[in-house]
Amino acid sequence: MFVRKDDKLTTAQAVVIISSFMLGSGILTLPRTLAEIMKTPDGWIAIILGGLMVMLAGICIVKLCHQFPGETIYQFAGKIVGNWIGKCLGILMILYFICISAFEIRVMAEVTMLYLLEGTPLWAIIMFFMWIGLYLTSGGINPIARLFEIILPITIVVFLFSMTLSYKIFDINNIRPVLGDGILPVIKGLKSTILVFAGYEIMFIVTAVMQHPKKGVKAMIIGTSIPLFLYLVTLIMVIGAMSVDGVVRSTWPTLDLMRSFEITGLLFERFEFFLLVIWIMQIFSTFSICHYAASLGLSQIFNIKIKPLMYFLLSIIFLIAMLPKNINEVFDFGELIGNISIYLFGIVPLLLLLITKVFKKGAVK
Amino acid sequence: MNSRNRLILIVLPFLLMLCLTGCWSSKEIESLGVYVGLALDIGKEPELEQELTEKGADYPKKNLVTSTIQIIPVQKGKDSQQKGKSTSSMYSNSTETGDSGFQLLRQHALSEHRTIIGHHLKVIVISSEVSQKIDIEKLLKFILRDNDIRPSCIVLLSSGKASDTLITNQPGDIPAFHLKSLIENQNRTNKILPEITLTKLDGIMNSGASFILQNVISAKGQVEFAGAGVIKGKTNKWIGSLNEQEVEALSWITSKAKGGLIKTYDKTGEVLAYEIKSVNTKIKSKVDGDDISFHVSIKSDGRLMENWNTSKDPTDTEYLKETEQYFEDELKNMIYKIVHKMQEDYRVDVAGFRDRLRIQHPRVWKKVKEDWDETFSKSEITYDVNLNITDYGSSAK
Amino acid sequence: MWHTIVTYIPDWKVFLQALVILIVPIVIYFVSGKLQSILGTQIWQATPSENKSKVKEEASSDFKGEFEADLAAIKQRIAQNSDVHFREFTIKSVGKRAAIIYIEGLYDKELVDTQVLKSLMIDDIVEIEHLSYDSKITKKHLMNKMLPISEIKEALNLEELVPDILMGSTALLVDGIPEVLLLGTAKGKSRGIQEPLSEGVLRGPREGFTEILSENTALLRRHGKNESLQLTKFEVGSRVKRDLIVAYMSDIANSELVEEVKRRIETINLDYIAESGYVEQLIEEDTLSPFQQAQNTERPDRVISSLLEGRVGILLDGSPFALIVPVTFNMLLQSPEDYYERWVPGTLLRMLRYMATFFALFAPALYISFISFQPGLIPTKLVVTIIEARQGVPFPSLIEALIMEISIEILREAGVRLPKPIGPAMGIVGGLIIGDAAVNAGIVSPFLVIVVAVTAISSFAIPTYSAGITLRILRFVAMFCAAMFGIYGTVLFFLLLFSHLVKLKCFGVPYLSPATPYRIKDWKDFIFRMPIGVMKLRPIMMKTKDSDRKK
Repeated sequence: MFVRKDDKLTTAQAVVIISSFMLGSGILTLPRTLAEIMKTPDGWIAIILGGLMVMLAGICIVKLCHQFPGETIYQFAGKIVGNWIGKCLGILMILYFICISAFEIRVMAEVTMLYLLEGTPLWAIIMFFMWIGLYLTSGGINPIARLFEIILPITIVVFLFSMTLSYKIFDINNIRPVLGDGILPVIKGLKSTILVFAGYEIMFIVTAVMQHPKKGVKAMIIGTSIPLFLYLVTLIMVIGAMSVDGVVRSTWPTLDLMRSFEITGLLFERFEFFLLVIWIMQIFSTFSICHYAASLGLSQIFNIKIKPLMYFLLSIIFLIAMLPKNINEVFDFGELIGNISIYLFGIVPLLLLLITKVFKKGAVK
Repeated sequence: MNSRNRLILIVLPFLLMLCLTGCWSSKEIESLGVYVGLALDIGKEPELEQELTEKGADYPKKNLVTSTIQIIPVQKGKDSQQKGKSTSSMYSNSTETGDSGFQLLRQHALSEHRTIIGHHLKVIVISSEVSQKIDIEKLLKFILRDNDIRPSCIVLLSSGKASDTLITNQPGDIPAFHLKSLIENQNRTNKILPEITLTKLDGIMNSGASFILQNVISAKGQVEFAGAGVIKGKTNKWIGSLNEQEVEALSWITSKAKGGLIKTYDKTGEVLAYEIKSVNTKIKSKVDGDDISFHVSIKSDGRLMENWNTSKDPTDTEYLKETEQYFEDELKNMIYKIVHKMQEDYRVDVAGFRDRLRIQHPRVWKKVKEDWDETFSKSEITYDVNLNITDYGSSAK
Repeated sequence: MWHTIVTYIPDWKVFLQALVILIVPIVIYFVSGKLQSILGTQIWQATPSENKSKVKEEASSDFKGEFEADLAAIKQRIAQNSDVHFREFTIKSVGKRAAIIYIEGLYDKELVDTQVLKSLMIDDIVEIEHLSYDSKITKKHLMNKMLPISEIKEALNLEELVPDILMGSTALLVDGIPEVLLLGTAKGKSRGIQEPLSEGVLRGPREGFTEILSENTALLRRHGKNESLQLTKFEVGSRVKRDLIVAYMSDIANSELVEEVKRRIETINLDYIAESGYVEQLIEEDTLSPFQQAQNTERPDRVISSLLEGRVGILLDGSPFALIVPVTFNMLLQSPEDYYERWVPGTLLRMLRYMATFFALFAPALYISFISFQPGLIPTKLVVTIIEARQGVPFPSLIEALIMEISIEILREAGVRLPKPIGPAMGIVGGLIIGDAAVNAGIVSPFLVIVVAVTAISSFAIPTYSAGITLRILRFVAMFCAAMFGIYGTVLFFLLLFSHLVKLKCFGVPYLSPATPYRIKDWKDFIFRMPIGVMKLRPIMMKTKDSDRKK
């Protein structure tokens, strides 16, 4: 068939969707949240452990989806736990996606306002951003995946480039000693690391439209490894350059890392510009995939056309994004979403999987 | 009718967009001035300001700090650019006195017709006088919070008036840039401390460690790096200074020397000079019950650059061994002095021993970190020095 | 509890903004939908037009074979045209009356004089006695024995005859034969094969297409012995009919693609197709997109290599520009030279072009956003220089950039029309003097002149002229975005642009292939141009019948 009419995703596209969803606002604040909780430079261990746990949870999700090929969570949740509970679960997830996209754009707008556009009203920053997101999502999951395929490599290259530039102020002593306080802080930090890995839940939707759903597990592993690696680099470079005591004091530590050095003679002297650019792009990808996931959920649960829902959700997301009254509330909001995600996408899939296994539900045995 | 409506619908958003264009955050670059240097002095209104205050330029404040900012570029007419290039200076300094650092900066908006932005602030010079009275953290709080000022800005101390270091008698020179580029000379001498940027300072201050900042002195419009000022971590106030030789000695302990030399005299009183090629310092901490002790072992490769005693021949291995001994003695002497100064005079640890203990004995460190400076003053420090002369440059005799 | 909730209910302004967020895209949606339906036919939904089936049956009065009557009928139809000529004569061998009808200036004079008139009027036919029995001449005899011409068509009625005469064929009407023979084709004056103006290369063939379709197809054929090159002829234009040829490799090109191309060409329903640009615009999918959805080229080598990749070429009579579909974005930045030179320079040149594309698109936008919004991101020493240089410039950077960009565009547009001898001189005058004078007059800053010059040169580095135009348009959009939101606006524009590009498809092939979706195997010929030995496979995105190039 030359002209494809079905919207199937390749495995690589599933990978970039997972990675792009995960890489969001978290990358700017992760070092601080970890350092605050752990008070040791061992955050990187927590990240590795957290990443592995998320991979497991993700594999759970993929396995669950394998039981219902071609169906998203919104469609098959009802089949496992009954129509009403399934619908409630679906609506919870939709709310979650709406909240996460609202949170992401709010953080984006806050940072943009602080460092790039002092004086521009919040709504103006958000508005155009959302419209472009809408333009993308209205094309369905395929263009979204294709755009991510362009943005993600740019992000990785530029990000690693700017991180390597900060070697000048890197001091290995700042990330030593390893496990000086034992394993306890690492466990404490585990929760916040899982928060930044939020995004694997998109496999609930993506697996249904994959060309080879069997490769979902592989996609999940690679898709998580990319953010895992980037977070690792971030944390090591940021703590290495700023020390735990310095990181705790910085609102946006990763950005402050880029602002902490100047390299004269390298055309640009200052490199936070690159970081901000790719970061905005990543927020865009997180926002658009969440927006799509929420609209798809609503349309599948209530059997409505997806397009009007997308338009309608835009307003809702905007209103939710405007709810937090100050930056502290924004961060609290983020933490709340993260906590919900642990229950909703850590424990619930496990339960659902158990139920399907025990009661032998699903199409594929 | 219908088509006209349609046309309006199409055109309207675009018109709206055009209207929006150029609003909000845009500020044209030519209407800006950038401040590249900031000097903080003890609050004392200069004459001009006193006169202005008398005429009514007053607001509720305590005269705690005088801040001077260096604004570039100086606006000048086209003519002066060609004629008077050599006479007119490239910068203008502006002074305000008060308490809140942020308010002081905004106060400049009353007199400067350009908007001044802080993105390009390069150096902050704090006079030791003001840092003796006021917690440095308080002085710098707004600078750390400000979203314009980059944390890559370096912080220096000045034993004299800080605002004097932002003046130069060399036409065409911008003092702030001058100070910034002096730091780069680290590979030529180890009398210059590695730069302390705002980021690093923030971390150090938060950890409660004592630290040293590069000291600048100025005379007759000439600035020079000289020694360092010691800031006690508990109070974040200036408690004393180190001279150039002590700074040199410190650089050996912290292993931060990128270049530099040791000069000493042999027994006949002739000059000997050693150029550092590499330094490798290891500090080992030992914990024995409540006793904490450190052992510093310094290894260095270098080159014999000068021996005024021309009768001796450096191609002779014996002679090299002998000179090595002179240098080692000198270095040991230097280190003895600085350790003594840290432990006895100032009772602070500014040589990074705390980091060693933190890394090597994290559990012990947790117990002693609250009162580290005191513990440090009581701990025993031993050291051995091993210098190795590898060559003697391009001249053998 | 209730009280805290109340404090979180936003201001009415926020609700208003939320409403705006909702309404604006809906309005845009409807407007663009309307625009689509006004501007372009939705090509993928349209059915083949009916003009082919509308053969005028009612007037199909066949020729009767009676010389006088038939001639009169023809004369009545076209004799009022001053350039139509009738030449009556008698065929010597059989003594029958005959006439040739031709259009002055179009007919093949040499052919008619030497092969037709001479052989019919003068030459003795060997088997003359055989014919003279019944003094009757048949079409068969005429064609077999008497007309030494390769190209003969026959027409049974006026409707078939007249268009061909008007296109330059010479009609031969013979008493007693009910078919009118059409001899030869038009032989108008045509220019020779020249080096293509818009796509010059230093190394590679110097031939370009001309306006004559048969010559163009010949150029394709001449590229090498090859049985599978398939040239299918179509006639387009409902009033003024023109030949159009769809060229493809029958054992390479995906047959669904070929069918789709043919289907779309059949939907063309317009009275006159003036240039292949018409065809391009009539078969494209997205009329509102600024990007071209068919590549035009004057170079036969480009067409052939595209055909070998599994693409389809479209050639129109009267246009030296062939179209290649489906087009992908990377094709627009490739030049045939990349393949003719060795792979290292080929690769580097390509990278250079991608960089040039970036500059052509974003340089002025970045200038505006740095100058007007983010002075903190420019190196300190540069900031100082720029501030000094811009002292006295009275305009914001957007206006400043617009002044220069628009004048450069005008200059370029004027350069196309200027006579050759003055063109370069005017270019220098315009570029150098306007730029220098503008700086001296204090209207623009010298930095902008550099930026504008780099931009202009970069947009010339793009091998496809039409792609250059697209970038020039988009550059202005980028400038406005930058003027609104600085760097943030530029990023938004980038995202908008790529959101559009990823949604765009050309004959079902994603426009950004092979960049996305990832087709790693196709990356051998993307930004990198791998050694030819490595490029053994045809592009996967074309889903060719035969993927191996080495068989």
